[in-house]
Amino acid sequence: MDGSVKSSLIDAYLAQRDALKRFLTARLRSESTAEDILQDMYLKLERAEISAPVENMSAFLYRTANNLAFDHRKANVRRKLRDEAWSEGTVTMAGIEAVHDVPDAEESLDARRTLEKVMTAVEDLPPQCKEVFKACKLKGMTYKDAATHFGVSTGTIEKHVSKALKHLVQVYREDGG
Amino acid sequence: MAMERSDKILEQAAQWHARLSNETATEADWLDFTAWLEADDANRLAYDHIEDMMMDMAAMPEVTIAEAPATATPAAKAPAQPANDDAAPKGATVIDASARFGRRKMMITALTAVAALFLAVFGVGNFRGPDETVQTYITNRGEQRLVKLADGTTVHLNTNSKLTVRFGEKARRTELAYGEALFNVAHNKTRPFYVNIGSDSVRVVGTVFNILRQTDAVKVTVARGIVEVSPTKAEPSAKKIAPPVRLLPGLQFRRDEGHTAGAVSKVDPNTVTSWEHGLLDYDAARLIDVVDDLNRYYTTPIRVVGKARDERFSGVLKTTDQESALAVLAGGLDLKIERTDKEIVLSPAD
Repeated sequence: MDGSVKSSLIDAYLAQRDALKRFLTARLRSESTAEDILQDMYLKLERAEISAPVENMSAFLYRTANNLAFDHRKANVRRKLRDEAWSEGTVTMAGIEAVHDVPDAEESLDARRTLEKVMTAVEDLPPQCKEVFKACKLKGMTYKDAATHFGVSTGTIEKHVSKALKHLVQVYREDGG
Repeated sequence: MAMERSDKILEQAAQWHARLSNETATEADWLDFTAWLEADDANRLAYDHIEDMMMDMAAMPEVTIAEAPATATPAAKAPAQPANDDAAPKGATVIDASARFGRRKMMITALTAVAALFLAVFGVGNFRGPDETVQTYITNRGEQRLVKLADGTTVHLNTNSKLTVRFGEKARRTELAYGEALFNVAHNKTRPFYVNIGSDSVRVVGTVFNILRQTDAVKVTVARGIVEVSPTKAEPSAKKIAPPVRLLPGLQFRRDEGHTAGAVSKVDPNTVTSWEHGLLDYDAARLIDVVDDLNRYYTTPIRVVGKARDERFSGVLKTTDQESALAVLAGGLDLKIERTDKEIVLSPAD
């Protein structure tokens, strides 16, 4: 393991800690939760045996913090979800790369109906917008790969994703999501 | 008026989500995003809506594929069919460079099917069958094969490879007996995916990675996500078990036969999948290593003799055309080609 990459990542974390806290506080509207997540994040970085060539450390740290905030919200909002795997270290670490839980089969019928409507709305998107959204947001293709595949710029990919999200979230919200 | 304002905010939230999902998002973007969140609580709530929706949608593909007995991919009971989309010849098991976009198209088409199927099975309480089945996939020299597994995972088997799949209720277990495979694993936190590669075991939740297993070494290379490599069991002689190694994108784990510990090095993540396109990409690689690679694809082996063994090669070779690969090597490195019935010998030109 190359300890220097990890230590430089931790150095970056320490240097950015205040800014990350400001972001998390704004995201979650709770300074104490932000502090908990930052502490959690530090432990994960310590344990993670990262010898990775992390290209943009600041952006990586923000993305990690954002994903942990996402996990936190999910745990809070959906406490009814039984989820043994959540507390497991490896899985949570993998969560940094946006690995998400499966909604429990017992989730309420309303939520299912809403999601059905959203999925129908996905099918009704303009063709390229639909394909880009599915590839990037459902299949996990990177913008760069999607740009190559569809023969457009990453900026265009971003626009398609943005347009799709805007439309879908309106369907989602109108249906009480 | 109020409606208009909230629509505007949702639009901004969508733009932020799309921006921050872009790998090129910078620190400045995150700072701007922070300021946007701070500006109005309604902004934060709008962003929550987007996240909630994505949370719900994230699970969708695997829920459907896990319980899709009536789809075009009838899961583990029948042998998996090769890539079978409009752009690729039906029944073709060799996927060359010209078919690669067809394959991607197929994946996306499959998603459309998934979305439709989702509507059909959603609401059914039990998503997983309890039975466990074993399936084996083999490719011959020069052959490649795209395998779709019951859980939505795709595995692209390279030349001369063997993969065994055994999916249970608690875990998805596979073994790469030999050869090379590129895995695109469907996310499922509650049902981890394992690949046994002899001395090591690879555990993943959902990611894209390549494994090359040869007699003298194993290599695990990650293109996306996180992968954990652990010793399968402690060797009797080993004083202690080596700790698991966690790999991030762009990292390669290599363990040579007989060594207790593996080494991790940095690789270009873009080259991880280049073999899928029928290409081998080299940067100052030793000729004997290049030839080792080529020999995995062709029935007539190439042998390098004399000083030619230490020549360095930079460039791209085709795995689908031995003659063209030979011509590129011989031309670039000034080598002589001699043929017998059994082999092709490369030696320094006089």
